[in-house]
Amino acid sequence: MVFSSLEFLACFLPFCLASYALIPRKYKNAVLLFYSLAFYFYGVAATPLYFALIVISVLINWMLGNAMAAWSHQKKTFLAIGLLWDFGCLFVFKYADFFIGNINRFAGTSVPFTNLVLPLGISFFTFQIASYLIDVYRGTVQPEQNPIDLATYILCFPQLIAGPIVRFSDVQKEIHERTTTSKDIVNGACIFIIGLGKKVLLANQLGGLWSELGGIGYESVSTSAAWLGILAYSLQLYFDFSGYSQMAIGLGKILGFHFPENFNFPYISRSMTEFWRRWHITLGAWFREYVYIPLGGNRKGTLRTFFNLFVVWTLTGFWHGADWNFLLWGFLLFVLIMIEKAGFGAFLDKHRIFSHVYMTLLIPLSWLVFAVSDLQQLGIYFAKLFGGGGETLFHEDYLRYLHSYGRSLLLGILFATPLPKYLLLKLQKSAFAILQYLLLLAVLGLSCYCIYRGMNDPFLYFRF
Amino acid sequence: MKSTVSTILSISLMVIFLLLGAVSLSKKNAPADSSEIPVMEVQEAFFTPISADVSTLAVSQTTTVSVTTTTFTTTVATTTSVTDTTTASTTAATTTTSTTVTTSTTETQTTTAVTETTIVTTTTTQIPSYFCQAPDGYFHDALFIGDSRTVGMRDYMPLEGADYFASVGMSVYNAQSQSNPVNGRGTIDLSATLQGKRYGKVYIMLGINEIGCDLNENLRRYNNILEEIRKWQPNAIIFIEANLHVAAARSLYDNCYNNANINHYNQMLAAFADNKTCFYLDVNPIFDDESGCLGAEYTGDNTHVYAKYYAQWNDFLSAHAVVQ
Repeated sequence: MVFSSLEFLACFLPFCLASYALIPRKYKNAVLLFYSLAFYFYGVAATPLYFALIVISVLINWMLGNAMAAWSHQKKTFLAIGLLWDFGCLFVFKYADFFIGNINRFAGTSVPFTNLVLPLGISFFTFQIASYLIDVYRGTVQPEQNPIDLATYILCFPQLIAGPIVRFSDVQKEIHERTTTSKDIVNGACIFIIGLGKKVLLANQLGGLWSELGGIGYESVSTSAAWLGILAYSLQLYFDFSGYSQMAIGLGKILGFHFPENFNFPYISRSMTEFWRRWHITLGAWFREYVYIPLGGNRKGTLRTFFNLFVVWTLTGFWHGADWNFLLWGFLLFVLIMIEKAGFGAFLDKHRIFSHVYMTLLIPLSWLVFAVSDLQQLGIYFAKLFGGGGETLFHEDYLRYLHSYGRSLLLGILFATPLPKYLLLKLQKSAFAILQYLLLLAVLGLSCYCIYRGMNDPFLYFRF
Repeated sequence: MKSTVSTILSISLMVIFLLLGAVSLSKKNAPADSSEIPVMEVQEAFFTPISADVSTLAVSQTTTVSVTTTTFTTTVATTTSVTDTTTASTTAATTTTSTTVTTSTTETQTTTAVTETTIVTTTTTQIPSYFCQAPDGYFHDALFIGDSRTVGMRDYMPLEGADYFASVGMSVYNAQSQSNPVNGRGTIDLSATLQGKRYGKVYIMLGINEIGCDLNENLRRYNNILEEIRKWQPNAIIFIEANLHVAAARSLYDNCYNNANINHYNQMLAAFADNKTCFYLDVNPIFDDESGCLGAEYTGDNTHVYAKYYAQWNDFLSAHAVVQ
């Protein structure tokens, strides 16, 4: 179930929130778990086995967590089993076919593909479960004795499918005891509406441009259209993902949870290093905590740091998708960050305007590598951006795109900056504070209208 | 106690929710793959699903289509020379046959009859010869009416001198009420477009955007459009273009936009052709794969051909000209 759909907004949410509000505090986790299970089941209804998979995974990790506490000298074994299961599932469902395809290609074999559909949210909940297990192993958290509480943490519907990736330590206290004030509810609703607006009014509208270019064929579009394309894609990706994260955070707040921020205006960054501290913050934090630091971080010499960063960025790229372009993208990020570490970063720091120009070019270009899986098509698009790449069939096509998407592009650029938020906060403190609620209600209404009219696109990150 | 009441209320809500969920899931179509490519058009009318006998129809219809396929492949191959009367008659006969068959199928709803009639009537029907290679300037008095495919043709491979009345999302439900920019005449509606210039031929390609709606209503409105064209352009030749197939990747998973439904609709449209002033053109054979779906190499979104293939489409149109 997509958050930006009528069945979620008009059916699921009212029932869920009403039941949740009415049930006494003791049983709130059970109710939340019930609705989260229903939410997940609805999403995997075509492949009901995946519902069993996630339930079994939660139970296995719950048992292993408690086993680690009960038999602490065998902790390592239990951790190994747990991680093997968790990442094993992720590997089989997400990466097996990639490896099979490449083995077949390079070794000439004919290993059959699994053709398995990706279980909903597996990339996200695998990381969450693994973080729990590792934290229990390290002793930073006490294992959860109540399976319902652990299940609520992992399956909690706001962040189950598309993040933010919440570490158990972040919400452990709130799982057991949380209160929701009316201020939290209002605040949560506001954040949710902002997220919804970003997704429906900005991301979905901009998404058409990239789709159109794909339908026409990259070799046939004009250079100007190609640049508009990656600009639109960059904005769409940001509003889609950050909108979804905000909806998750807003919902969490209404339920009494305080999920960590996942995006902090990444497009105003002045370097790639800074960008990845503002984009998908929880993923970066996960990799830092569970891969970079265990490998030694930057405390084992330059060469080792180099290697550690290489591993982290390759895995980050690979997490996003099981294909060569994602590995290439991860490697590209690694190279850019290394260059910045080697001194370019200091230069960017000192030259404000240059750094913004640099990032304005680099962000869409790096997203291009992320967006196109076929390496040949990627090459064509790159050539197209710089004047080559095949015969342009319609030289004025960019005018048509500006006509259809110009307004959305301008709005997108505006909302990628902190200016609207700054203005909203000022409004809040002024005498016309009521206006902000009217504004948000307008956003909600407009979004619902767009959803009703079917101007709706699936979330780009749902392939994860 | 207050908490008991609210607990009971809460649980009742959960039960009602479960029932609602069970009902909605049982009625739900197979959930769309989340990487589903959106159709570029916005759906104006909302759907009633086509009845189950479409699949039966599709099976036999496929047979009919494949016959037509062979026919057109032959035609394309022979257009370089002057229309060979023998080949033309055979071609025409088979084409006419499939049209006749189509009509009978709608009335009788029999599927086996389709195959049989095809063979029998070959020799006995009167055959006018048509379809030749377009002479120079043939498209100077042509008008193309259609949806996003026609928009693609207009933008990416326009035929010299032709006018285009097209928009993304056009369907038989909105074709007559919308305005579009027409070459040098500003933004005008269909009626004004048809009245403003003498056209020798009018090509119409609509259908994909109303596939989910009631078939009879679709055909009624299609007929209205044909009548409007006739009214203002009584001497123009009308070419009804078959709707393009979607790729297998879409056809297999989409309950609405699949080739069984498209073929069924095309079959109904073919019945409008009389092969004297109104002809039925099916471009699908040049883009189809062996299973009758749009070839994967021709499309990036499973629904539209890449812009560079509109040139082939135009060659097809040039090869299927009618000169009277």
